[in-house]
Amino acid sequence: MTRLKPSNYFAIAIMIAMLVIIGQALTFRYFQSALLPLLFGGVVFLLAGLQLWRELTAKEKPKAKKEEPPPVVKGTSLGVLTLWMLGFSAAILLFGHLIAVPLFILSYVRWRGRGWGIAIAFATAVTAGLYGLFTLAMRVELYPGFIYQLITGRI
Amino acid sequence: MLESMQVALATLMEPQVLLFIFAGASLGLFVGAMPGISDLTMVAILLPLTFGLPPELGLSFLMGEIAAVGLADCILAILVSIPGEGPSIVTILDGYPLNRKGQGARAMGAGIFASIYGAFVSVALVLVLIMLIRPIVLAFGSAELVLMIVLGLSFIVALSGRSVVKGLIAGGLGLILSLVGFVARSGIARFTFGSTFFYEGINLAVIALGLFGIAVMMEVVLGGEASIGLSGTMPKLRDILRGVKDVFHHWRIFWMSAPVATIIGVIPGLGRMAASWITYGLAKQISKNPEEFGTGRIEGVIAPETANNSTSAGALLTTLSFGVPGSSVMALFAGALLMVGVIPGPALLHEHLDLVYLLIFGIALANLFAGPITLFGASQIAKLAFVPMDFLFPGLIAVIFVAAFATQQSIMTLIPLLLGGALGVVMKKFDYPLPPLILGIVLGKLFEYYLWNALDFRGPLFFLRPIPLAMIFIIIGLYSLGPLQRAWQRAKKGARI
Repeated sequence: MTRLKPSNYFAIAIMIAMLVIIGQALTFRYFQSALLPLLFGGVVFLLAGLQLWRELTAKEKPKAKKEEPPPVVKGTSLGVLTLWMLGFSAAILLFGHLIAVPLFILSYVRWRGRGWGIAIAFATAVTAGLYGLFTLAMRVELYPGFIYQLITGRI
Repeated sequence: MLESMQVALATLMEPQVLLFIFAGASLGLFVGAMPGISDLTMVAILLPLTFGLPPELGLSFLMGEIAAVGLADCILAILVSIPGEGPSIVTILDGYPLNRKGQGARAMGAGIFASIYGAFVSVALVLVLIMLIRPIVLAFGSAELVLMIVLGLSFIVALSGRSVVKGLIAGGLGLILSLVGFVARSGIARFTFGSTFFYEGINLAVIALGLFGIAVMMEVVLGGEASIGLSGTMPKLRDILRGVKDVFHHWRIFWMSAPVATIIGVIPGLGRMAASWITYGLAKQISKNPEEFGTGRIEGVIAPETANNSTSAGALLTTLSFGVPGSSVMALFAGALLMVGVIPGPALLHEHLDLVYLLIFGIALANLFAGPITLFGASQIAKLAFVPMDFLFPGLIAVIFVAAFATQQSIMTLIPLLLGGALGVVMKKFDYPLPPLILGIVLGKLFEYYLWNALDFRGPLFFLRPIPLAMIFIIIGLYSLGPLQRAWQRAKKGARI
């Protein structure tokens, strides 16, 4: 039995998503709302199926000579960067932009091995820049965070 | 027409508009000089900023950025063989060897000057083309536009890169995403998961920030861009000006490349990269020493650099007049138009011709601002590219998250932003192209709108009219040309054997 590769799982995930979309579209009361989801969903389902079939039936290429790996920055991987993104999102949700942004920049720059002075200066500069641009110039009220809203009784 | 032109020029002279074009152009220079950050990423970051601004300011800002990107991208290409932007890969072919021969500054001067004048020639050409194209565009109704959008969607193939099937899947996913939201026609909320946040649909700016912002920045960090270092000597102004003279010396190449690239820009899906390669090929063909191309010929820098800055005006024309984006960046720009309430298409040429002229003049003005800065500040701009990723990554990620929030001023934007980022990472990992997805989102909304209009006014046989029928033939022709050509070549080969 052929062992599935990660790219196969992606094609399968698309096919499942399209089936869900088609299933949902069939429940719409009006044809006008259902026509395009059925059409696009059906076509993408078939294309993803075709892609999966192509990947499964493709002949394995002989392994090329091992190339020099790219100069990856020490300590970074997709998983680690994803954790940084999720952590930053959680910090925004809890503490709001004005605390989460400097916190994120400070921790990241420090994590990359830079000094405290430059990390604090950079975090302050970016936060001040964002505050000036969005809050002062564009009158956008940045998100205050769940904790602040809880304390001030906004929730 | 003249009246609209006068209104556009008057608006252009307003200090605020000038300031926004200048700001956009400065950002464009920054993006052009930075390896790894594409104009697509920067336009995605800037989209939310345009949202709260009056259309003429927000759109001028974006246009300034888009117009100036092509100016500075040759600097790193020539100095260290790193393309600041995709099309400058072509410039490397002769620009880098010239640098190795100690003529890097000359090559930079020629490249930057050719870019500036390429933009001016293309703007002049597009102003003429508008007059010619306007009567045709105004004959377009909903039925014609449905087929035009189908034609636009067919250019997904051109944006697909190595795998057409993957490109079509990406485009299809974009079309599906465009369907999310409340359908006023039937009163049904489609794929909103019961949340009113999604009633207005998936915000293009937020999803683009995820796809081209988060995903691309992560890719750059994982690719180890932090290790780039500058080698060679800093260029001198005297040598840069020598390169400017070279452009006049090779005037034939320059005058040929600009119009060819403008026309390529008008055709959706081809873009700056194709224009750069085609003009490089043409320059090689008309050269007396074609065998020396690739070893450090100045014509090999002039042709692609003229081309890569000449396509913007052409692509803008197609985007504004037909609503079909001429390139990936123009797909985002079309999204910006929709966000500020301007629907691209024939009606725009009829009702807001002044805005069309304003944007076209904006390209020339952005180059007028940014051109001399690039030319005289090339040696300083070169240093920009060496901002360490340790600072660039968290700084830009913070901007992306705040910009996404500002688009809809809701913390719920985190959901489409992170989903866009995750989708971008996965799609890049498995080699699915991202631009078709954006094209799908933009054209999907327009397609549904015009399709139901056409069905209401003309019935199910709305396509049985001269222009739609002609377009159906063009689409069939486009798809069958490649296979027919291949079959013909196979038959010819078989006959020889």
